[in-house]
Amino acid sequence: MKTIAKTKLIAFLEALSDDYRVVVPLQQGTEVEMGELDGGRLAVGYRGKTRFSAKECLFPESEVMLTFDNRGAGAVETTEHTPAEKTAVWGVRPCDLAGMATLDAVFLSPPVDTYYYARRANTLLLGLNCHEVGTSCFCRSFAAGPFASSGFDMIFTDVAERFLVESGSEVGARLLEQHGELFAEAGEADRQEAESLRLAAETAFTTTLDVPALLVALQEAFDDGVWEEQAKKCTLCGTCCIVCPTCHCFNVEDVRKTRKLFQRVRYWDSCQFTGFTRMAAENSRSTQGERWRQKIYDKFVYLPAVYDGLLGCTGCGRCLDLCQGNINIVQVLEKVSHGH
Amino acid sequence: MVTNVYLPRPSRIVSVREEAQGIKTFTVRAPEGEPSWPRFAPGQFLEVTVFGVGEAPFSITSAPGSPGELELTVAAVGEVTEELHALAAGDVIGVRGPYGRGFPIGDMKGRRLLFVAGGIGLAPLRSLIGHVISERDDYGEISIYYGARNPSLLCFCEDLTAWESAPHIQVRVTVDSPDAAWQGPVGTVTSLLAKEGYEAGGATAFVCGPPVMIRHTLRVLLEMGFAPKDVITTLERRMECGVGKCGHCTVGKARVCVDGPVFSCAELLDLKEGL
Ligand SMILES: Cc1cc2nc3c(=O)[nH]c(=O)nc-3n(C[C@H](O)[C@H](O)[C@H](O)COP(=O)(O)OP(=O)(O)OC[C@H]3O[C@@H](n4cnc5c(N)ncnc54)[C@H](O)[C@@H]3O)c2cc1C
Ligand code: SF4
Ligand code: SF4
Ligand code: FES
Repeated sequence: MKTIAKTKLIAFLEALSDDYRVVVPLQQGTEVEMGELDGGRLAVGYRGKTRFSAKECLFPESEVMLTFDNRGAGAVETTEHTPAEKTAVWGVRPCDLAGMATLDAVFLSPPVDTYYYARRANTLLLGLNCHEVGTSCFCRSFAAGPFASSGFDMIFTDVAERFLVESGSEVGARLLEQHGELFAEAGEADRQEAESLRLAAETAFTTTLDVPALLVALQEAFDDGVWEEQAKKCTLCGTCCIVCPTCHCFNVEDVRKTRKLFQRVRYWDSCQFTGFTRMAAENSRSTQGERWRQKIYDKFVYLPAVYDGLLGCTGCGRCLDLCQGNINIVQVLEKVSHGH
Repeated sequence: MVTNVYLPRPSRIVSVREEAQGIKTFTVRAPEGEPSWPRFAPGQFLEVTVFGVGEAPFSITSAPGSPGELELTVAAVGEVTEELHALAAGDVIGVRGPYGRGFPIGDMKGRRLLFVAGGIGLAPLRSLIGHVISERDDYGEISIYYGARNPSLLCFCEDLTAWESAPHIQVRVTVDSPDAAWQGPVGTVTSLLAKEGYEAGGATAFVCGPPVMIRHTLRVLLEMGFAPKDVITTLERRMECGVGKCGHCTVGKARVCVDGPVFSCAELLDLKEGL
């Protein structure tokens, strides 16, 4: 275990930028957003979470998959756009690291998704534990936070003027060694301070979800009126899926670039949009209640059934903060588990 | 190095024929550089790229195996399908697949088989019927009920005639709105089946057609005494990836592109969203 002075973090990140595109939390007015390293705006000691999740580093909002060059007479030349850029992401919160486990399950299970695989292999994940819990955070209910236990190359814990730093992978350990001059050996006092921060954070949650009770209740709640009732408030904006660290649905579209050149692009989609399931003959989920239920069942019933118990929610709380219809997913789910 | 599952392989259209009004059948050669199509089962589908337009899934309608050529039958309903209809012999399309879980051929041996299809829904069943006829002795009697809205929308008319003349195969064709020349039954295929009746014991039923037709027919078959596990259908859902990633085609916990498109009625009842 090592420590690094907060004033030296920028030097470490700048050193990484020799080999990596470096993505960090940046102060943007009152919000903190992930973006490319910009020393002046680096949110070194940011509290809470970034407005959007860090999933974009592994699964961008839109990406070009293929280019088709139509040479005429039936000859089409196809170019693959497999991402090769190396990226280091610093400041990833435990809820987002946990979300990446869900993305891994979906995209790395056979057949492997080439684009995700390449990004995953080229991305260094430098996590940042939470010692101040937000009012909407409930990651503890999933054991996803406030401190991360896996899924990172390095994990940072904010202790006053320093970060306590641990590696979680070989690459992480190598980097710690390589940049040894920036880090100091952690002492027993640092360790104890981090431990007491963890304990304090763990007891600070004001939002909690009884996950075991929910999983039982959902077995019988498919036809519950609660879905249509909640859906009345939903504005169909899709924000809940956009900000969610586990949501991974996408649409594919061919876009004309020139008369002969076409790009096949994929971009985030949302099961809350009416067109998500539209076909020529009919729409298989035609009411917003069905779509709302789908979101919940996919996260808590279907994903775990397909991927070995893995849940599609990490308790990040973003969809509570940003829902345009003011729906509080935790309150709704607690109602489902513990009666109306 | 991971192979890119999203990469379409170029394949040449060998011939195109008018199947019915607004419906064409394309004969497609194995992808360039491959001597034959990868082995496929009836009920599986291909993701087809019309270059410069987009991609869409289509059932393989010709009999299975790994032939040099296979057939797709396509109704023009939107962007990709209309541009596909504009292509001709010699043009190149992109293909991915075959994908999905096909019909449970192993469980059908020795059983009587009932096929109920509406419109272009006969396309995936045609592949299965072709397979069954090639191993005719392994199965009991075969009944085929087929319907379309009007005579000009009936597909695979030559096959229907050929099947009818094969031993122990009964073929019944009906239309909702007859024209002056129509001499067969009138009404939906489901009502014809219900009226004529069918002995469910020892039989497996296969149903494919528009969603309303599927729902209606499954209900009628269950009323006739079929066990839900002996009623098999193939579902159509919006698909973007075909390989279980994009989330569009889900029915409950099942992804139609990898867990289907073929499901038994028992499975669909279990999935809740399927019917
Ligand atoms: C497993 C499987 C097998 C299939 N097999 C066959 C087959 O053998 N033969 C066959 O013909 N078809 C088959 N289909 C259906 C076929 O895939 C669709 O008809 C095809 O994808 C339509 O694509 P398109 O681009 O032509 O239509 P699209 O342009 O996508 O439009 C489809 C329909 O939806 C409407 N629509 C689309 N987007 C919108 C929007 N934003 N707002 C309003 N309306 C909209 C269109 O008007 C049109 O009616 C199969 C489907 C599946 C899932
Ligand atoms: S469902 Fe909501 S709380 Fe759960 S991980 Fe997604 S955005 Fe966060
Ligand atoms: S964020 Fe809220 S309003 Fe928007 S789609 Fe999700 S549930 Fe509906
Ligand atoms: S088509 Fe993408 S998951 Fe089935």
